[in-house]
Amino acid sequence: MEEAFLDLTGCRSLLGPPLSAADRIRAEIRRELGLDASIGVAANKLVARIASARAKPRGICLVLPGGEEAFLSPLPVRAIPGVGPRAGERLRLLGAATIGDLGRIDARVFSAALGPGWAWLAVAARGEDDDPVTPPAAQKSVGREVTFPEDTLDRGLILAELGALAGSACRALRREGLQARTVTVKLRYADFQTVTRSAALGEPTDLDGEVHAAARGILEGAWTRRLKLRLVGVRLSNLTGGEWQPGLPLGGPDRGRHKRLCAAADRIRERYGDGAIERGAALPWRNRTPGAREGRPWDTGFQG
Amino acid sequence: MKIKCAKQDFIESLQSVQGIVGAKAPIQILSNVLLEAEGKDLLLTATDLEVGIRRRIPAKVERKGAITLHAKRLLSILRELPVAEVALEATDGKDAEIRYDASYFKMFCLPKDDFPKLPQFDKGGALKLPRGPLADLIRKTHYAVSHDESRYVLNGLYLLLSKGSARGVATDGRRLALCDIPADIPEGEDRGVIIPTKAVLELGRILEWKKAEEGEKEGGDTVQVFLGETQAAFSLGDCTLVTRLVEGHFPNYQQVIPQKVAHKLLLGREELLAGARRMSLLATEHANSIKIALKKNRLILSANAPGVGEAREEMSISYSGEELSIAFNPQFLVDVLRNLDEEEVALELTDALNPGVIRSGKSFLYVIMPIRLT
Repeated sequence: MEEAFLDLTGCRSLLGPPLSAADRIRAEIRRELGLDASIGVAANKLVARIASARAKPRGICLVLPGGEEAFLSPLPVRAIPGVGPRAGERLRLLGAATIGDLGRIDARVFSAALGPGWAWLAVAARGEDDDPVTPPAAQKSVGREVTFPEDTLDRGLILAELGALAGSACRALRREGLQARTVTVKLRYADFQTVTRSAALGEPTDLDGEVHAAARGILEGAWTRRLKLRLVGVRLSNLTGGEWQPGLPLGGPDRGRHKRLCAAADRIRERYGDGAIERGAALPWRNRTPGAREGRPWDTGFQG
Repeated sequence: MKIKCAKQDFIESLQSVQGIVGAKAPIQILSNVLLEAEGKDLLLTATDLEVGIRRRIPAKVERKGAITLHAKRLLSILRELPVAEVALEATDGKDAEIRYDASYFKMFCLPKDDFPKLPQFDKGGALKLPRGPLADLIRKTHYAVSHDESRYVLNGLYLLLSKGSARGVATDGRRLALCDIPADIPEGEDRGVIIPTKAVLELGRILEWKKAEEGEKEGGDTVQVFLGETQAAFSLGDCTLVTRLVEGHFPNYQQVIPQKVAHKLLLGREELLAGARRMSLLATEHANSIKIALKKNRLILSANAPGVGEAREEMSISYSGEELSIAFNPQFLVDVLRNLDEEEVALELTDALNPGVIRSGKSFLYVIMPIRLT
């Protein structure tokens, strides 16, 4: 599920009233992408988001300014983004089942009951949010990681996964026309100790083989304990785009050929799916970690 | 060992060998310089196990012997001594005493037997290279060596000796510098060796610095070259450099030299260098290229770095071919242009994707791969 915010301030003469603008957006998504979209229209991002969730699967929910409290009051506390099952349960024990109930609780109680940093809940319960709509920040890094189905010492498997993760991260870079100057490898031992190590590349790259070689070198240096690994990850950062220095045809690694190879593999994957073409080194382990091939985005706390 | 020698000689020779002594030598003794007193000479030797330099300076040897002393510390002490002549004495090989007036420094020594032995070469097997041209060859090519250790055969200068000439080739895989010099190499002595970068730089330094000192003396302008299977030595006057050779085959560099070029123009070297330097002021990590555009009788240099600014410069040239635009790493241009001497260089271009060539005289050639702007 993807979501996006649009600030319509001052756009009435251009796009018409909010409701008809929302209707047009929904119709265009339907026509261009063949997908259903729900839209929430409100005075701030928080309420618009809650409204959009209420309008699923393909409705439009308009909350007029001033009507926030009335709209939110009967909704369950879990409707507020960020309130998960555990916080929901704690709030239920405090006697708050609906967002309206939250208004009757002192804001300090939230911090005491749920932990520091939860004071915002009182503000959210009133339907207030001053977070502006901003364009997404330029991409700073691309990361991929995979948790093995079982902790493993199998170097072949680990290196094959590392190669697949490097390839997947490089594809993401190539899609954006970017190259990375820094490669970071993350590994997590069976006892959950996590180690991350980085290395700068001599030359920015978006080529699978170059990133894999660098990642492999980092992993060899970082994996110092004789302990099984449960997770490996690769992150590319210090991104740059636009220029590319090919090499002289000296018979060594020919970057031009390498680049064409990656581009051809990208086209094959685009057409026939991610598993359609793989490095030979990954094949012996192909069926051992089904679904893990693409890796998943490197989780939070590590977005550089 | 007991010697006396001129402080200035001692300092200069110590400076010339200590470039080899690493700041963080893996073995303690490699931080030391070997001092050997014999006959009327003091021999200084430093090595990092890859490259070694030995120098000989005149000394009054009262008692011969050999010790090793911490090179950097010894140099700092000598520099501060308030006398013109240094008196150095080591009695039991454990300490060395430097006496001046009524004062002294006592320095801890390491035994000379622990110091790595430099390989010996058969004096009869020496090839001869002229000092000046060899210094030029190194100056004109050294900057192009690769520092990427994953392609170690490129981590040095390929020195190719054949009848009547010597050729140096260096490349980092993106640009390649080639220089030929005449040399008195007899037939049947053909040989190609890869000299590690550190040795090349040290040798270049020795040759440049020997220029004034030895130029006048007879035989002082000839470098004797000894080539072993895995090691080589270069000897000039009182100084010898010994180096391990890079093992492996240097790639076929001939194949990167374009056989045909579409456009050839003569340019003032200084003017192009100054322009390239100015354009490079805008270079950033993310926009590190300089564009060369050829138009009728004009060459336009430009650089554009988003978020920083742009620059543009025009040079008048004689050109009537089709319009062409190509981008290079500015450092690659600056490197070559500042190391040449000639007033004019020939720039040869084909199109935006194929390598460009810079020629200077008949003996120098530089191939440079353009940057692609996506």
